[in-house]
Amino acid sequence: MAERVLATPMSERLGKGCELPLEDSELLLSVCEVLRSRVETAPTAARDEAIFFYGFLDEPTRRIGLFDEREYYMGELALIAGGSNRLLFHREEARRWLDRAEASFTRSANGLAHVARVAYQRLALALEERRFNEVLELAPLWVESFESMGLAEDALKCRFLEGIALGETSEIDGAVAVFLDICRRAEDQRNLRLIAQASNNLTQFYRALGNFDEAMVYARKALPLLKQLDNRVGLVKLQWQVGSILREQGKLNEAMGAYREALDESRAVGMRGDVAALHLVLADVMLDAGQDRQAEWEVRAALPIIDEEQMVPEGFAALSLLRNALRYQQVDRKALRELHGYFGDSQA
Amino acid sequence: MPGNPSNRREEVDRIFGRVLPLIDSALLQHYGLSRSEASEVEDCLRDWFHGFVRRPGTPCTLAQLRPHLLSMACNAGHVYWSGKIGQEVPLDGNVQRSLTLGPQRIAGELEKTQEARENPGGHLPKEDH
Repeated sequence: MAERVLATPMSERLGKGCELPLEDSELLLSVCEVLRSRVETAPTAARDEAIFFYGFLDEPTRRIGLFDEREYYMGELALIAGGSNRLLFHREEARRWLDRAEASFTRSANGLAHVARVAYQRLALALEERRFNEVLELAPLWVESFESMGLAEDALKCRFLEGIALGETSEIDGAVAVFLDICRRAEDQRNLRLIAQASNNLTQFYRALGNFDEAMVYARKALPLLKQLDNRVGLVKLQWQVGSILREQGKLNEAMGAYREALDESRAVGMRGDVAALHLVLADVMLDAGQDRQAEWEVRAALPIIDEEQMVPEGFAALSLLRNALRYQQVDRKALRELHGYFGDSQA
Repeated sequence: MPGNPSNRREEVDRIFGRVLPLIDSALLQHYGLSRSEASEVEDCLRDWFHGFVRRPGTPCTLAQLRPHLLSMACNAGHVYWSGKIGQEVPLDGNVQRSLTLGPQRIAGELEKTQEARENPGGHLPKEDH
């Protein structure tokens, strides 16, 4: 029934009250399950659906299910909207939805665990905003909290953030150790999703250490798992990494092919931040390959997205330099690198 | 919890059945519900519990699930009387105490009593999956 409801255009759902029991608790539970699974495969759709159902429950106030069920569903839908917005680079919206999630979860059963799930999203947001010290301080505390509640998978997800923050603060060996440990534990839990993501990150960090062979071992491990899981966000990041490895091995044409695949996938998923960053990275490789004219077009494709989404406010100076150079049909290499550096290299 | 829905249903019912005597005692003794009212609330709690175990972040052992179930049972007992305020004041001392202390406190007391019963020597209880 959840699939049927989600296949019905939003504008038609309220008018089909008899056929589509939107207030049914079992249906709402299934809708939440489906949307959670879509956050990483189709974040825009997951967010829009979560907002639709949240609005349906919120206004007018409806009696839903038993005991705390209305509060729980509102919390869960807001959390899905927050997590999707985070992946879509809409950080302020993400923050607002996470606040809404927390407000509802505090009135539901097992509220502590749900508030911790919200905290995980906030920590992931902090990571994306490059507040690494905050992540390194808080992630171990949330790992302990999740473990004390018996939530092993959520604990491992927090360790992910810790590992990425270590990598971003040049503690690459520490990051590799964290992800090897996560991989082992995820294999014990038979958690394919976490094995795929940890392998994806090991690809990134072995690459950073210059160990391309080991990086490709983990890329090959991650690729079929990500495809099996239809984790398109993960696939973007992996293809991006593979592009960077090929580039560092001097295989520029193959690198451009991998970046182009990542770009197409990120555009299809609606990850505009990654689309902009990948255009800039492609421009950089094209300059290496002597394709200056094509590089210019890649930069021109990235700039409107950066403007529209108000990305990288800290990169304003680099953005201006790049824009000025384009007036003379040139690409300012230093500004270009500085600007795509602000997006961070691909993170899982 | 087992992944197969019918196995999961059976497992959830089994866990619910293990906690049911405590829920019963909470509703009858601590909240003064009649037998039929308690049965009605217990049916609702069983339905709720089936949805609850499917939520992410929900633990999966009896020992970890029981406090949530007791807490919701006490909430239900508390809300039962909240709806009656101004009409019928409970005379029973137990009920008055429960309403004064609040559902979380009562659920905590019930949980502690049960833990002490299962674990009289103070050793860690055996985990029941």
